[in-house]
Amino acid sequence: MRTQFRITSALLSQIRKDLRRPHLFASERVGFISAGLAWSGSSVLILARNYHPVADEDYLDSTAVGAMMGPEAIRKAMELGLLKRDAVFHVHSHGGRGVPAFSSIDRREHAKFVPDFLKVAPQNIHGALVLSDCAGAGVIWTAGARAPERISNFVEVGAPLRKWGMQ
Amino acid sequence: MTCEEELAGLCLLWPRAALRYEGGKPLIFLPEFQVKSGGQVSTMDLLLCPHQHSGYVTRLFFRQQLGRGANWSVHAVCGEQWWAPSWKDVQPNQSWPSMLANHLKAVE
Amino acid sequence: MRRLERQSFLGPNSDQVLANTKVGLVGLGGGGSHLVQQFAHLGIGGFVLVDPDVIDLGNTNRLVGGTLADVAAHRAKVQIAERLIRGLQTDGDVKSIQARWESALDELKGCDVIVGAVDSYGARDELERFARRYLIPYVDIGMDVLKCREGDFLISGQVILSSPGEPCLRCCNFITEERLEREAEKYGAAGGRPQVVWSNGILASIAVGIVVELLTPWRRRTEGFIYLEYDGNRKTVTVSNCVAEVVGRTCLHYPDDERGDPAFDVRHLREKSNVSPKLDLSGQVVGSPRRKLWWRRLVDRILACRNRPQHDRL
Repeated sequence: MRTQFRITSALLSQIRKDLRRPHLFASERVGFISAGLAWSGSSVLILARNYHPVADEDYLDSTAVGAMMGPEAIRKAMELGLLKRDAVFHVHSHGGRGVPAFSSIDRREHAKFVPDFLKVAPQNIHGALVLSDCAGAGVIWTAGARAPERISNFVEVGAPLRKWGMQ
Repeated sequence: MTCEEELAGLCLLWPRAALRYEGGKPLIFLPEFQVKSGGQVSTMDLLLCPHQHSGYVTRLFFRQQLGRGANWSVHAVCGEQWWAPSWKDVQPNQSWPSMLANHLKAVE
Repeated sequence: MRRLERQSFLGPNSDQVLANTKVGLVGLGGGGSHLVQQFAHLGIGGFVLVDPDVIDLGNTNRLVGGTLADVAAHRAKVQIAERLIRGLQTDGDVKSIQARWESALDELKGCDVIVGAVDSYGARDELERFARRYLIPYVDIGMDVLKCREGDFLISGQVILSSPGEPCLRCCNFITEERLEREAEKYGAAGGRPQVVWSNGILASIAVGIVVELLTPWRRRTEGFIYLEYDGNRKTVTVSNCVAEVVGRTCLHYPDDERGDPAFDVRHLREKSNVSPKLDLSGQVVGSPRRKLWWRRLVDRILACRNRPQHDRL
């Protein structure tokens, strides 16, 4: 399934700014993007709506990963899917330039909780994004799929309008 | 009355009625409604707009154009194509079931 | 020499950026025909062309690319537009839809930018709502000829860029409920209004420049909201007074959480793709008369060859 992720420049800047904030003990910050979805032919458009940073108190102190979310963070994100019927995307940043890639730890950790969003909102697709300072990459999960799929391409809607990914 | 209370009233008439939003304002989606028009009953989705839209104080949109009703026009509402006859002055200061009934008179 | 070499100041990747862009053009009359011509010359690679009409004699004072032969042939405006494009890009991705734009929503959703050259406030209002819902920048153009006192006329027009998150046509009072009401009283009739080619050309050219600047900016500062007013009598294009009042303000007319299809359900795709095509006894796919299976096509070719007159066979 082809997917296109659309997000305004203003929202993307807001997310990057938040993810750069230092945390008391976590070495990186994470958050969730809520999105609407739309069909365009047989492709799916993912239309970013809002950003929901994980609250400072919802991190767990862990040396195993850069940012460990507590159960409260996951519960709040699940509420977005259940009560507001949003598609939910976990997001964090690797910084730097170019199109980033998930680390093996990212992939392992996403697989532990992102599919659970499908239990509360199976009509949606949910996923995860990783950002750099100028681009991003992502994957989606759909109910019944064995493995996540890459998001095909991205559009940053602003002045200028930027696109990257498979055309 | 709040939107939720109004919707509850409408759901007594059509249980599958659901709220949608455009421009910050609610619209009511009525899937597979039984529309009586010209002595026949057609099943189609309706979308009730209980506020100003396209120059009318309230509006009822139909999934298809019907034989009855005047000056039909096509619209894009909530990302979908809808049709509406010209039927003026169904005021917003009434309950949604009453508003719906008054709009349906346009196609009777 | 490359075809687009003279516009290389737009950036080292500008050719590719423009080629990878899909523009939706709603309305292919006086304004829209200029737009499609210029976008085709520029190297825009993808088009969704939407207009329900065929050309008539009265259009030929302004419909760029339209000929008297097209009038005689009752040619659709989208066909004339596509012909313009194909003359410069033989392999362009062009979807021509001879229908009202409300019937082409699926195709328009896939566009990177939508430009509207429509002739009613109602259409503009709904096009902008649509564009905002699917996070698509919308550029609106339009012209008018107003009768003044003492028999003079005023030619005027506007070009407005409405981008998601930025001020909209309602923020700057271009669309108001009063205007929509007045228009509804006339049942939206907009035909027969005066239109001239040069004003359409000016407005379309500005719109094209705005779109290109969005895609491949040639300067560092670009605006997210643009409202330009054209005065055809003074021969000026000026920034509207309302820009200073609204720029920088968040638009409250289109809440973020309305983005997307209201009743989206990804499971519907699985239901669609689970339906297998049905075959009739001749091996043809039911409901798709042009699609024949490979063995049916082979049999048809053999039969056609056998039935050909002797002297035609190799």
